[in-house]
Amino acid sequence: MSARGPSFFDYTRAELVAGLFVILGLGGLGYLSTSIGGLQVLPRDAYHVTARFSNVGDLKGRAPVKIAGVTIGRVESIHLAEFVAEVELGINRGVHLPKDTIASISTAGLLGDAYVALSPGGADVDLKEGERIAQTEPALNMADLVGRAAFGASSTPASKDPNNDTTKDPKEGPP
Amino acid sequence: MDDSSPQAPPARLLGWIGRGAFRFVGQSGRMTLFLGLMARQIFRAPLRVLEIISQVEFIGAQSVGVVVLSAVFTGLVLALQGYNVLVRFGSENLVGSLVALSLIRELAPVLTALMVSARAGAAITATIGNMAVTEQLDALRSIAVDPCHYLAMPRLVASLIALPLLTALFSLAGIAAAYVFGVSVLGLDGLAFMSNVRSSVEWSDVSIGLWKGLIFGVVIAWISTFRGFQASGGARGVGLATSRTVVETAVLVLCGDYVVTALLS
Repeated sequence: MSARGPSFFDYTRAELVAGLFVILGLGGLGYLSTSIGGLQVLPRDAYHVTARFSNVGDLKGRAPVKIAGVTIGRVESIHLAEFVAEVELGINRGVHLPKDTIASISTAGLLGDAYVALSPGGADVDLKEGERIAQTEPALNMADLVGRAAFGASSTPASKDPNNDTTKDPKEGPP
Repeated sequence: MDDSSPQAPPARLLGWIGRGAFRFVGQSGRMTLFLGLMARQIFRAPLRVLEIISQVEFIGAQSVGVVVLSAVFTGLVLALQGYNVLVRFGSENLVGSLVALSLIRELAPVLTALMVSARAGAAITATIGNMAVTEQLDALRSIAVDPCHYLAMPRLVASLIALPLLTALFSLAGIAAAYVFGVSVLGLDGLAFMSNVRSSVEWSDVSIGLWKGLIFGVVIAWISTFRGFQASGGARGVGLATSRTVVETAVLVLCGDYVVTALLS
């Protein structure tokens, strides 16, 4: 052993350094994959409900599901069913959703990512594994919204002077 | 016109181009065949575990310092540049996803491969090249030890192990440096930074980085051992082989990066 350099417990220095490197590297790789990359090694403790939307906008898989801004689950999959988008939601166990919960798709900020917002109702019965949320609101289309605001306003007859037209409406303004 | 064969300049140019083309095609073929030969050695007994371990220590563990150092400064410059652009749109919290995605998908594999090839690849070529020009490879053959199995295979396996791990360390060190810099100097919110990183990075991004690490590991081991075996002509030949290793590895890594990105995404 002494011929192979200083040794601790029968292992050479090279072996110990290589082992340390591999363990450190695998640890970093594991952290990168699971915590940052979102790879799931163990199945998350969650139950699944579905919701059908006429339009999901740019909702993506793994997008958060929130109640009152608090993340309580993730979007598991999005696919087409009978020409509407069926979204499967994984909800953390421990969060009980009443049967008349409303699901809508919102956007975090003006440019942020889309997420599913749930507003719980007041029903006594809770949604169970595999059940469907009956009431949904589709994603707001930002281009539609801007278009409606801009062109909807300018389609009124008195639209020659934009300053007078939009800021001071004689019919609705306070006295 | 003191050339031994009195040719007109156009003919000499054509001959020069032709010789270059033949040399290029021949070298490409020889390198490809060598890659196949080297890959086959992995499945031949004995496995040479001790040699692999010492190569993991040399290629991997000894590169950690230089890899982490370059990762820290890459992360810092990404954070600073990204911040300067994004702050104009009021979306400076996107710095996290900018830094994380560009590191994990592109910069970490490429820069790690370049650093390792400059550090370890050049040393591998110099070692094997020195053995080649001093006829130690022939000595190995004469005692029925295949130099490709004894010298090349452990380095291939070791760099296949080391490169993905070093790539992961590069990404983490870069993100950590950007986090510390963003929170302490740029005044970003730490929790927003990390949640932005987590929500933007997907497993597919991490796996692309890993694939690149594996492929670049093969490239480094392949070119550096091949150039070592090919070295001839004394000390000058070893020096030439070493500089060729660094240049060819860098070119192949950058070209390969484009190909892998185009194929996998």
